[in-house]
Amino acid sequence: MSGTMAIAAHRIPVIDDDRRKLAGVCAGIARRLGIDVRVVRIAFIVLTLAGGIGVALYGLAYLAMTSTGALHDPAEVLRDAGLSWREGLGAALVVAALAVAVGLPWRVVLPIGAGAGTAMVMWRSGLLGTRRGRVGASLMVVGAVLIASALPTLSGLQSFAFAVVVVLGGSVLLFGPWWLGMARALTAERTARIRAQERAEVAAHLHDSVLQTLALIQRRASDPAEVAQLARRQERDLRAWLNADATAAAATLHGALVRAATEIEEQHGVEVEVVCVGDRALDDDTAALAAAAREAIVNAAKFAGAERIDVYAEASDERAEVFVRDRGAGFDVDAVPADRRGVRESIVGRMERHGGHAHVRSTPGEGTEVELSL
Amino acid sequence: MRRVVLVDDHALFRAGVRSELEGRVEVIGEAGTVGEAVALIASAQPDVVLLDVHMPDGGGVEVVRRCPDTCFLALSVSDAPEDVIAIIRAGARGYVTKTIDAERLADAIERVAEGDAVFSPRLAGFVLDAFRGETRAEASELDQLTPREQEVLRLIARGYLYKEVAHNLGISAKTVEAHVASVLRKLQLTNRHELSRWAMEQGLD
Repeated sequence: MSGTMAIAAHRIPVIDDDRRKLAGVCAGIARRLGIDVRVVRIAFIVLTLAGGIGVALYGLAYLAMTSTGALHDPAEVLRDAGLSWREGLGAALVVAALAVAVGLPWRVVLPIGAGAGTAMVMWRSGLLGTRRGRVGASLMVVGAVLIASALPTLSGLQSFAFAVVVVLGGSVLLFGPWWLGMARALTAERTARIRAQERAEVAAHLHDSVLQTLALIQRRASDPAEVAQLARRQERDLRAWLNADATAAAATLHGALVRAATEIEEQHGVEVEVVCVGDRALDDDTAALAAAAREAIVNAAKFAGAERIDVYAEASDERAEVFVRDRGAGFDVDAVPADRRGVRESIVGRMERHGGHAHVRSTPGEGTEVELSL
Repeated sequence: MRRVVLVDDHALFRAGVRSELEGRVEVIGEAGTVGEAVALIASAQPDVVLLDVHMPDGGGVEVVRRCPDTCFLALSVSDAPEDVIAIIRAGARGYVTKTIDAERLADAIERVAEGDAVFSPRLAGFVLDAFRGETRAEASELDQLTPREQEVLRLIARGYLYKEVAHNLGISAKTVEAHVASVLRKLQLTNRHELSRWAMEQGLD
């Protein structure tokens, strides 16, 4: 809490009791901004002359600014007041009795007694240490007197409301700084708690994933291919986590392609780069397109001998296209026997059944590109 | 050989790139912070700066800002469009991911040194995505791609090299380079919502 208050004190000007003319607001602002106090005072004076807004601002600033003095916790004050209620009641009765004795009428006795009791409670609760506390306590006493004088008649609603306003003003003066400090502390505390939770979550994730992979890599250091694959898989995983990547989980063409790419990367140890422009929800047709693309990627991974496969998809509501490209061995498309099921069935046939097309271009030594369109 | 400066806050990564590039380019210096990088670039006057996007104190974007008239190739582990677009909009001539192999990297360095733009398939994809959709009729020429530029980007996104793009479209490699340079310029100057939003998320613009 003290740390929090120190932070809050950095941001918000602190009432400057040493250099004050009135309440120390101008001096506090000047110190916070590092400018001459006279500049601030002149600014407030000018604002006051300009329709009195300066006074309102001054009041607001005073309420918002933290005093260098002690902050009063309402709970503590109430407890202290509770402990001193007997003294308060005692003072009220004694003063009221005196008033009655000198022959004052009841409608005067009651307010005098209430004021005396409140004053005693205020005094006993140790609120008078600061100027602010004294002003607040005075308002409370005045408020108590006003309420007590309005109560018996119940006629002066206006004066009753005025009394309530006075008491509220007193409360704000007394407890405002504490309340503000409390609110700031709560915010800071919540921020800190959220941060701690996030940290724990990050730590847990890193532990389960990155540290495990690093351990594995150390043990498999003799097998570069496997190390590269482990690193790549971990990279993809971490990246997805960092970006809170919903893509891979999505029931869209893009999501399906990313899932296929990840899986094939793991099984075949090649790099599959998926770039997608636009997207489209998975239905029968797009699912078939994704499945055909997956088959094309698998073929490239198995037969091309390339290190990297580029997958590019472009999708809108009217059209969907996927290109799977590798720079591997390539083959003579015409020389492939018609009965080879891989390309015929699972790619070309599948696309045609769903009203699409598949086109394979390949040059021996330069690589292959499979074009799928719906 | 091209004179290159490496800027990355990970010394291990700098060492790795340096050894990979041995014999392909001349690495004349390394820097690990924004301040170091700015000072080194000013004194060494390299042909190309290989620049990490993520660094403390403002990252690669800050280095690009403070060193105008320098040729930057951004190198990053990040695939996030915000990062990629931000560094390009700050003024980098190209972007490649850190998993790129040495040969492609050396090729990319040569390319930006010659004044061309270097687009990875992923960057091409981001650009196509960002320029998609309805464009208002009164939108400036900067806010949309020509059909030809789209074709070029689409082929780059499909993994084609510039010369393959040229062959495929029946145009010269120089023309492909001109199209890519034009896209780079649009990317840096356009007010298209997606691009300014990505850049803004990185505290730019």
